[in-house]
Amino acid sequence: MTSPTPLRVAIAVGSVLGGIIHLRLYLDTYRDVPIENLGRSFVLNAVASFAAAVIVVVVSTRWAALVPLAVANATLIGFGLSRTDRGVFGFTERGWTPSPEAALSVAVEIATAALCVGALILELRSSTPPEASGPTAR
Amino acid sequence: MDNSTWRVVATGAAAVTIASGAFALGAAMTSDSSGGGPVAEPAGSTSVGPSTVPGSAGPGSAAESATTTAAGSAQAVAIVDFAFGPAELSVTAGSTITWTNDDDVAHSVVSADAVLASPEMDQGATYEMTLDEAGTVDYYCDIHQYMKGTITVTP
Repeated sequence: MTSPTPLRVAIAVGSVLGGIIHLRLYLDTYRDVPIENLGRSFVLNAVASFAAAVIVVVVSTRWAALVPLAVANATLIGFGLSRTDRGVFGFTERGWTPSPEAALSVAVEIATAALCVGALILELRSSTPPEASGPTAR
Repeated sequence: MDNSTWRVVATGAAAVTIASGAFALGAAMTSDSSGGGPVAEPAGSTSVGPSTVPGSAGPGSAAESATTTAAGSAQAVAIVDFAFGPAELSVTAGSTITWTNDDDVAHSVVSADAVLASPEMDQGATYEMTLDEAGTVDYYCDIHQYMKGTITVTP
C-alpha cells in the first residue's frame, strides 16, 4: 500500500472510533434487546472495525483500504435499515436516537469511508505510468 | 491488477460510499421523531390522556409475566431495558397509570385500538392515562414492537 502513513493512521483511528461506539452501544443499551442477532451484530461490528484498523496500518497491499471501507459502508447501510419499517433482524429505531451516539457513529463512518476512498484514489494515481501523466523532469 | 480494473474498483467504491452515506442520512432524517409527531414532555410533567372506555383489546400478550394486582387510583409502569415493568398490571376502574421512560432511547405506549396513544417519549418523559371502565388493554411500544404489556381494568 502506497498511501501516506498519516492517511492510513487516520483511517485506522476512524475504524477504532466506530468500533468503540458500537461496543459501548451494545454494553450500555442494546444488550438488553431480546433479539440475539442484534447484540451479536454490534459486537461483530466492533471486532470487524478493530481488525480493519490493524489491517489498514499493517498490511502493505493496495487492497488494504477496501477492508475498513467495507466495514464503514456496511455499518451505514445497517444504520439506514434500522430506520426503516423492516429494521435489522426486526429491530427498528427512530431518527438520531440514541443521542449522541447515533449521529456520532454516522459521522465517523462517513468520514472513515471518505478517507478510504481517498486512499484508493491515491493508489490509482501512484500506479499510473509516468508517461500517462506527462513528461517527467530528469 | 491493471490500472483500468483498479480505476473501476475505486470508482465503484466511491459510488457505494456515496450511496450508503446518503441512505443512512436519509433514513435517519425521514424517521426522525421531531419531524414525525409530538414528543412527550420531559420528566416532571405529564401528558394526560382522556378518560377511556377500554373494551377487549386486540391480540398480543405481555412479554413478561410480572402480574401486579393493585387497587388504587394511581399506578406506575417503568420502561427499563426495553421492557415494561410490570408487563401485566391489574387496576380498578378509574385508576390513572403513569408510564415513565427510564431508558436512554425513545419509547412509546400505544394500543391497537388507540386507547393508549403516547407520543414518542425520550428518556425521563412520562405518559399518563386514566382508565374508567373494565376491560383489557394490550399495548406495545410502536418503535420496538416486541415490547408489550397488558392492563386489566376491573370494576
